[in-house]
Amino acid sequence: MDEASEREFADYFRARRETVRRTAYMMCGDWHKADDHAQAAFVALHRNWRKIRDPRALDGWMRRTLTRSVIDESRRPWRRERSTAEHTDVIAIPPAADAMATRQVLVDGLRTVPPRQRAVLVLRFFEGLDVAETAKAMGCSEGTVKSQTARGLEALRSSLGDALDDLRAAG
Amino acid sequence: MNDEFDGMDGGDKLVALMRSAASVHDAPPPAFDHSDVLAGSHRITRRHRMIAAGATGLVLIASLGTAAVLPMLQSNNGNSTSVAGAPYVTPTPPAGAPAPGGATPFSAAPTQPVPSGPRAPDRVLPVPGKEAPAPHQSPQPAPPQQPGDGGAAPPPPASGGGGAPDDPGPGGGGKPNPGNGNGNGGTGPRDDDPGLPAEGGTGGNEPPQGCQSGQAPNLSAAVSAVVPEASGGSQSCRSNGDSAIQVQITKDGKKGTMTVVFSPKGGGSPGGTTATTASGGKVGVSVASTGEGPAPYADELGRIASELASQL
Repeated sequence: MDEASEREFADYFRARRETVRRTAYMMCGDWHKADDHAQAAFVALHRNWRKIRDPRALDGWMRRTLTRSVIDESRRPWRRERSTAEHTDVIAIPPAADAMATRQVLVDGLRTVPPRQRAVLVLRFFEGLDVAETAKAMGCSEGTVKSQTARGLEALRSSLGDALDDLRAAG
Repeated sequence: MNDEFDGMDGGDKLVALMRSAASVHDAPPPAFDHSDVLAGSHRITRRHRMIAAGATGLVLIASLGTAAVLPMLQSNNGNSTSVAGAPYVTPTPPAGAPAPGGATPFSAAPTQPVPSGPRAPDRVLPVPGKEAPAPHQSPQPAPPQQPGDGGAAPPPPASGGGGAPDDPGPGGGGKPNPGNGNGNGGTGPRDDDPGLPAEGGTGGNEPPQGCQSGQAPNLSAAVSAVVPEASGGSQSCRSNGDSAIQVQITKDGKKGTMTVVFSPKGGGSPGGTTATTASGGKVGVSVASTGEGPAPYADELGRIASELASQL
């Protein structure tokens, strides 16, 4: 890669690193894994930097790469996540729930959601993407995004229990 | 966006909670920076290049190995062909042919007309001017070709191709033929007698005797001198050491096949009308009619035998 491209990539990296990290964290629920996924996505972006001609497509490319990395990682046998039909591990509400505890409850609740549904929820409610954009990032149809969103929300509500009243009321 | 929720409050709450959960205030410092990304990218690029180079090397090695092994295999095939054509390999006689080393029509019924056909046990002796038989059927390995020699030399101690005119060597080609080099007594297939497969050796460890030891007289020249009407024929060497020739004769409208057999001294009876040569050998002459009427020279076999004996 030439020097100008290296500079462009460095600028993009500095501008988007934290965003990508947070998205990865919401998808996997662990900052260390989030760093690994984010770094892998940036490495892949660097290797394909010259192939991406439209700068506006960079964010979409990164989301797609990051989502694929997280979902593929969850499919590996030694890290395979198991979904249960009933959520037995209802998260208890801390007596003195503050903002940090509330956020932690949400993250823990997201961990109980299957990876693909979790990714859909993150892309839609954290990244703010619509159904079409989420489908493009996920590499699936819009109908699949809708169904995965509904199932993911249901799983999240069941997992949260009484932890977040607003979400329960929303359901 | 959040149409799955009944009210905006739930969707907005979820969005707010997610963004709050991923707040950088709670996040640890990033575990990687720009240099780490570049290093990872370069490491993967180098790994891919090494894989590509390894694959190229494997293909190259495989190609070189194939190129090195193929000529060896082809060479082995050539050697096996040579082995297959090594001396003392007895060809399978055709159906109905007498067994090698066994009695031939000449020796079994010398006075009877000899049917023309394959005579497997007989070794074809060279005839002047004739093409040499195949080397792979030669009873002995041919010595290296010498300059001026009319092709491949015959088995020792037979004189080489183009022997002296007065010494028609038993294994040689008789008359010299320095012009075209085809006068040697090799062992190639013969155009005029394809039905006489050459046979090498005497079998087992028996010492060669008679014509097999390279001491066969030139029956062809002698018969031509005594019977001018004789035509064709090829001299052969039997397993018992006898030399024989079979010629076609046409005289006064009579057609027949004359068989002349020479047994060296100490050998058995050649059969037919016999006469003794000066060397102690015996010459046997027989003739059979191939047309209507009596055979030519049927009443002159004694004279012919005597004259042949005097020349041999």
